[in-house]
Amino acid sequence: MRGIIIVLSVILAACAPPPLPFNATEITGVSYGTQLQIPDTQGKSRSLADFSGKITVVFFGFTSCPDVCPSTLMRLGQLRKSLGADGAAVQVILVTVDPERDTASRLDAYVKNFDPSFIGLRPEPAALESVVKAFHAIAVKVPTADGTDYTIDHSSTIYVYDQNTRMRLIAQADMPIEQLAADLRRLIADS
Amino acid sequence: MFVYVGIASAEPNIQIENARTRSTAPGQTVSGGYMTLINNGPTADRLLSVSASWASMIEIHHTRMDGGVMRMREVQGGVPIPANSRVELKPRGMHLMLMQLAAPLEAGHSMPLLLQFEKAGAVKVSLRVEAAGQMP
Repeated sequence: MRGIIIVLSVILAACAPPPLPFNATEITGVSYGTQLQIPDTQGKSRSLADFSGKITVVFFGFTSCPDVCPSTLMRLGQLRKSLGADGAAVQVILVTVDPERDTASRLDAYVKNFDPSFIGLRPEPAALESVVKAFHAIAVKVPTADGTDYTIDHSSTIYVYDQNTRMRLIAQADMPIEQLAADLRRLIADS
Repeated sequence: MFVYVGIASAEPNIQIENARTRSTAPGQTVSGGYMTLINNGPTADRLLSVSASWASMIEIHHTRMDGGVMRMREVQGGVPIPANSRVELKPRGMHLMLMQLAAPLEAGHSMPLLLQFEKAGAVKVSLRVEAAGQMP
């Protein structure tokens, strides 16, 4: 009888469904993007600890980015709305990869044009490279055709931290918002 | 002294639908422009350039996602619009890069734009400004 119970337990344990994968890529435990220390648009240095208790969503971009950045920020605003009351637990952060042109006031007005809760972080130009590297991201200036202006090729990955400020997920900028919302609901429920 | 060459092809066979852009915040100098270019004619045409008084530099760009990196490049040689076809300028694809904005674009406004086509010539378009927080 005891043997049967043990066998049954083993079978039951083997049948227990593994946790479903997230829609985004889970990267819990990676060594990159685990910290940040960047001034906000008020000049106050912010770190992940400031966002403890929030699901923090970090995206790199710049205010002169006409296409992917506004499209992604708009969708991250929709993401917060789609979460209803849980949306208040989501903090979206845009880290500018263009601190030379993105003044603090310009960056602040830009992010708040999408959602008043969004925060812009602005590395000093000299610190940009190390910030980008710390996220295994890239940002490369590309001159426009006539050479008088430039755009910036940059990583469009969305980084997601849980409420304990642990890096948990990365998603591509075009991931359907419902999928990302489902992941965020899970992170909120798990903590 | 009559030159007929080109007159037949100058018939207006280009139609523009859903021309739109996003509102911009103070200080922001760039926005993206999108629209559907429709060629109802039997001959191919090409969008060569775009101009506006309120954006002193406008380029046609293509966004390419390359291993999680967003790269934008100018479209060389204009946008081909085959006969009887539709070409979409859309987010995360081909789009207008409206640069050096003279003033912020306000949601609800319409902005005039002049498109220059190889065969259809100049075509005026009104660009609808949509709230950045709502336009995909």
